[in-house]
Order: sequence, then structure tokens, then C-alpha cells
Amino acid sequence: MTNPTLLLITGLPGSGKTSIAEGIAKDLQAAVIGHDWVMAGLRVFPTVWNTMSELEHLAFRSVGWSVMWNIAIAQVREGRSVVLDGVARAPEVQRTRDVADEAECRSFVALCSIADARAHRERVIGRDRNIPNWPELTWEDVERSRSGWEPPTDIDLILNALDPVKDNLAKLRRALYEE
Amino acid sequence: MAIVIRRDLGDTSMPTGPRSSSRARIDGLDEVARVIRYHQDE
Repeated sequence: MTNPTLLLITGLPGSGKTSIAEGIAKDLQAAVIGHDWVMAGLRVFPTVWNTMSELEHLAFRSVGWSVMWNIAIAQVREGRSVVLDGVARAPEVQRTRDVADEAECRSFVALCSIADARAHRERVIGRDRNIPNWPELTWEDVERSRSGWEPPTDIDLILNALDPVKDNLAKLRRALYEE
Repeated sequence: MAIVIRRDLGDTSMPTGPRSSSRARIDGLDEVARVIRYHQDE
């Protein structure tokens, strides 16, 4: 691939997004920009965090995404691909597409899907990403998210989170390179 | 204005510094989790 790609990996917490993002980023020689990492950076400023906390749901999440999109634009302008890693719903997917269009680069959206609640629970319980100043959600939190989760529909590829990471990476590579 | 900036920077260093194992940090993460939980519910 010669042109940079703005790649978005979305899915529920604990669906394996980061493993896929980190794996494909090595191929693309791209940086991974994680939503939780950005939010954790903002969180340590009490005035900023308190103001964010009072926003509507979409606006709250968008603060982090806005930072991510701006960093992504800076990267693709220099010819580097970027991998965005976060729980993107339909509005965030749409904006990612728009950002890519505006930056005149390709966008690609992959959804990590995990249908089996028991397996999902095991993954969430065992998770420790060690993001400074940022908590891991409990299974109860994620389970509630699951129940109200409407996966975005404007996606290019669905990955089954229960498949081995190497298989999912191979699938993603094929889709990226053959598109 | 300078006072506000200094206060924010002071708060920034607190959770990442030597006092990171303090009760204040634990409480802070609990509160952050509450906010995240609230905003993930559509």
C-alpha cells in the first residue's frame, strides 16, 4: 500500500480491539491511538474532566475522539497510516470516514464482535491494560454496555473475537491489501 | 489565571507521582469509573 490508511478498530470493551490494532499497526508502520489513553490523559485535569463529565454522552466521548482525529490528520498528511482503537458507535464511525475523506486518505473500519457472553466475561475479568490513571471496567459495566450495544453498520470487516488473533490479523490484512 | 494553571498541574502530578498508591487515587479512579459507566449507557 502506498497511500496512508485511517484504520478504525471498534467493538465493545474486551472484544480484542487493541490486540488487532497493535498487530496491524506493525504491518502498516502506523501508530495506534487509543480512546481510553486519550481520555486518561484528559482525566488528570480536574477542571477539564469535571466539565467533560457533565456533557451529553456523545459529546463526552467525542472529546477523546476529536483529539484522536486531529492526531490522525497530522499523521496521514505526512503519509503515515494511523490505527484508531476505541468503542466507536455510528457517529464516530461516520466522522472517521469524513476525516479520511477530508484528508484524502483511505478509511477502513473493522468491528470486533463477541457473541458469546461467557467468553466475553472471561476476557473482561482477566483484563489489565495498565493505562495510567484509568480504571478497567468491571464485567457488570461491560455487560450493561452489551445489552444496549448497537454495532455500527458502516463497516468494512467483522472479526470474530473468539478466533485466534493471528487468524483475525490475516483476515484483516487480506481485506486491507485486496480492497 | 496563573493560580488556576498551577492548581491543575499540581493535580496532574498527584495521581502519577509517589503518592499514586494513596487512598485519594483509589477514590479518584472509582469516580472516574462512575463517569465512564454513566456515559457508556445510551
